[in-house]
Amino acid sequence: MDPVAKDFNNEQIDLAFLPKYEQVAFSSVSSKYLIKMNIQTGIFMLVLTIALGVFWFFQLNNMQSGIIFGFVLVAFIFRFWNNYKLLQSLGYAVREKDIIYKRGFIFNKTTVIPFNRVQHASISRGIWDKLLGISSLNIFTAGGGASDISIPGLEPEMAVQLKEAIAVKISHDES
Amino acid sequence: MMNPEAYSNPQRQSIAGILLIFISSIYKLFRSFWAVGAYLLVSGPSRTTLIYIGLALLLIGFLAFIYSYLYYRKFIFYIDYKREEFVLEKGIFSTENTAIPFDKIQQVYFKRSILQRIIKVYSLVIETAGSNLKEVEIKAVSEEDANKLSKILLKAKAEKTEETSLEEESEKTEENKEVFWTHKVGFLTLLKIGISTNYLRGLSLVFAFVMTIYNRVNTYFKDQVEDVEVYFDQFSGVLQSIGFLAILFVLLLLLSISITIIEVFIKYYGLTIQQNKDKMEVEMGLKTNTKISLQPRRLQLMRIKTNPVQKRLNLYEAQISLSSSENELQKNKIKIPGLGKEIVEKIKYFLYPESSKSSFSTTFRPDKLLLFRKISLATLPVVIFLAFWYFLDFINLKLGAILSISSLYIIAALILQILSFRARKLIFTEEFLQKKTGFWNKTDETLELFKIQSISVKQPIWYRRKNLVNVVFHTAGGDLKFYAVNTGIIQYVNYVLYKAEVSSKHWM
Repeated sequence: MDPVAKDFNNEQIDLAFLPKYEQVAFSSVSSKYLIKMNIQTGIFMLVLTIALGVFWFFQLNNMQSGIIFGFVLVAFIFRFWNNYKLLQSLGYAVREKDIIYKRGFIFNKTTVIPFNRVQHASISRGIWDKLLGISSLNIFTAGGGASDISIPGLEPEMAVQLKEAIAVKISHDES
Repeated sequence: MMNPEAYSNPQRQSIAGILLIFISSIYKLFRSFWAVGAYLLVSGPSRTTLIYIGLALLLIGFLAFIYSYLYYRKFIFYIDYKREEFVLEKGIFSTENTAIPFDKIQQVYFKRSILQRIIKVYSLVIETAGSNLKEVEIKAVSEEDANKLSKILLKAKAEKTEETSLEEESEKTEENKEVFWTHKVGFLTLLKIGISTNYLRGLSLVFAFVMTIYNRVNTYFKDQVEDVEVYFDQFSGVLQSIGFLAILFVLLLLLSISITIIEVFIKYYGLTIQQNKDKMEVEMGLKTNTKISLQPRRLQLMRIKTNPVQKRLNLYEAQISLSSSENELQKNKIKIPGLGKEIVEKIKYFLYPESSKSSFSTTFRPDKLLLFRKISLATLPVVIFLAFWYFLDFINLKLGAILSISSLYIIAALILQILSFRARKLIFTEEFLQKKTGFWNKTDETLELFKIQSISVKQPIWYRRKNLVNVVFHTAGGDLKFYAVNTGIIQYVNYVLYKAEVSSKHWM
């Protein structure tokens, strides 16, 4: 058994007075991230359209390719709209003891990671990130991929600041 | 003596690293394109094609070399003594910057492949807790650098974690060798486990048997033979083939049961559990003898499984997830079958000594929406089957038979889903979270609240109006998920977070 610590007390907690993660004010990410998503979707759409064009040239008649193109168009309009909604839904918040990240419009998901469970944090920048001047902040825990978060579309200085703040929190919280 | 600030300036790998990167990227290219190359050679290329191929290969080689050089230039690591971190930057097109705080380092070691041996470099691997995806590998370090770096990192790690390791040492000296209790799983119990675990395989065999007989009889009667002589002739033929099938069936069933029994014996022969003051030791296995010591501190998630048949035989199975600790070889999940109820209680009491007292206990059940979804998923096979039957005619069945089979299936699925839906619940107490599922295969998962790594709350758009969420509690030993639960649970999510954030106890 553990020895009882000196100033140990164990007051009853009223659940209603606990800090509520769902009521914090979220910071949103840079709108450049929307540009990045749209570029990526656009490239994908271009590739598909070219492939369709090749098919149309060799195999399909006008009607068939028209119908397929219609589907592709609708799917991509949806994608662009979804990108826009996704950007609006992206948000993060840093509290004293944890970091909160929410994303997704159709599938909304909020993840909360206490700082005393963070293993390490890193910054990554893809080629589009570099061109657009944004960064992603990745935070890792020991809980495997589903439990880690990656916040995209941060201003590079902001990402560095956040990463350093987290590093301080980690070493500070360490027993 | 070593310079205390060694490696604080950005370092590159050993220059031989370029060669290593070059060869491995060429090898990768070769692995993905060798089939194309072989095809080209076999197809008997003309002289000009060969020249073009040669030129292309040269170009690829040149590009790969440039890539290797750039990769080498961009691969930088150093030790940040001020912030007590090891920092690694890499990537040409996309840059990745990783910082590992000293106290998060689990292990530092070298490895060498044949290629690395030839060019006389080492791989230096820095492991952090959690999955091995998060380890850092520097692939080309000279022997001298590897030794120095690992010394510095291990020293820094030791300094940072000195306090905790001292604590552990004092714990060790105090360790009491006295054995509290021992539990051995005998021959008979193993036999029982073998028979009762894989009855599903048996059941599916029975089902296949019934279906084949049905098909035989059906095709026979369909062929409506006029001639009485032939009729009897054929009838006895059918009987005979049914007899054969029956023998075959019994043999298969016996085979399946004995295979399971053999499996169980190989895996769990000589299963022994022993508890002393602060650890529990589990030993089992015929071929490879596994020995695991369980400390409550390392425990992440515990599952107790049983089904009515096994319950009657007093057989429970405990599944224990441990955090992947310093030893990578150690299995993360341990299955201990064949435990009696009293043993399960003892293990629970040892691992969770405080589980009995709690000032509150709140139970959450999923919304009916989940039941609806599960039922629709379960009836999907029927729809597919009916579609097949309707549009293709390789299933020779009458309408009546079809309808009775599908309605039987649907009723069974409905009952099964409703019962298991009712069994599904999530219970919060002061220190624990318990998830119970399954009406036949009962599973009971327990998680100590402060052991969570993070929590995800998901809300698809169609949950919004009904005020529902899916909650996932992530731990180092797997996730605990609970779907379609009322948003009232969020209060408890906050409570669990509070528990994790306020706790100074080690989660591993």
